[in-house]
Amino acid sequence: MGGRGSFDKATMSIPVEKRKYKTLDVVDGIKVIEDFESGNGKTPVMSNTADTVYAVWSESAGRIKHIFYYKDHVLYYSIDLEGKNSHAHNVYVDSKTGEIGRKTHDKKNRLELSPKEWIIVNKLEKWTKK
Amino acid sequence: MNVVIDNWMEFHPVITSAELGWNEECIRDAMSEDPKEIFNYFWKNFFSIIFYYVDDGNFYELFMESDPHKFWRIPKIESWDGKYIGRQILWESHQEGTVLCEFDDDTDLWETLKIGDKSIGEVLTRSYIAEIN
Repeated sequence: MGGRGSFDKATMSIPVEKRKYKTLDVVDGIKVIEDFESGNGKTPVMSNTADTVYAVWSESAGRIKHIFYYKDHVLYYSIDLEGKNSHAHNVYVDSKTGEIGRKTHDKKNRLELSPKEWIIVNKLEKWTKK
Repeated sequence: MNVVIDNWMEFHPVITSAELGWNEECIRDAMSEDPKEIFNYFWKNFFSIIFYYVDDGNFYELFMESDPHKFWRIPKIESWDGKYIGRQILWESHQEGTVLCEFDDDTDLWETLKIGDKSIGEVLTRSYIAEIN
């Protein structure tokens, strides 16, 4: 897990020294991770594993705040865990610049969760760091 | 490195001067060391930014999930005991506070956004950027 500039195309991975996240647990096949530097942090837009899902613990909030989905190492979908207001966003990659972000003024880009997503959100919201 | 804050959070109490402003990971993400380009990279890709401005003791957020987007001062929790600075706001969700400005995609925030008489660039060099998501 890391930022846009942390991914090394030569090795198709994120070098160890640029990884800022550690794994805390695995819940239903989803790795629960945290930013070990800030305990809070920023959205990691690149993953070390090509196609994966991470749930991110926030030490500040005292709970999991996000689920991030990656395809070919790049973030493409995220869920914000906010209780009954939990919602999702599509994340886009600018093919010209490689910039990763959300599209603005796209009011449809605050997405309702599917029943399957609600199940995992409810489960992850109950998870607590030991 | 000077200690700027010694009571940030229970799990991360000390913030040094070197931790203010954009950190190495932000620089890598933006692929630039230019503070303006880093700032523009994040907000123009619609990441919300929460920062603590050391010089006035307030948290602020550039909130990018609304239309228009908003910049607000995050409200302090009334029952905050003053022990840890980072505990004066809620982190569970976005807390709309005093809205200082609304803006759209075309706004030149770098030139126009100020807190008091300080530009956003000056403010961020004196701020702990706590969350970008």
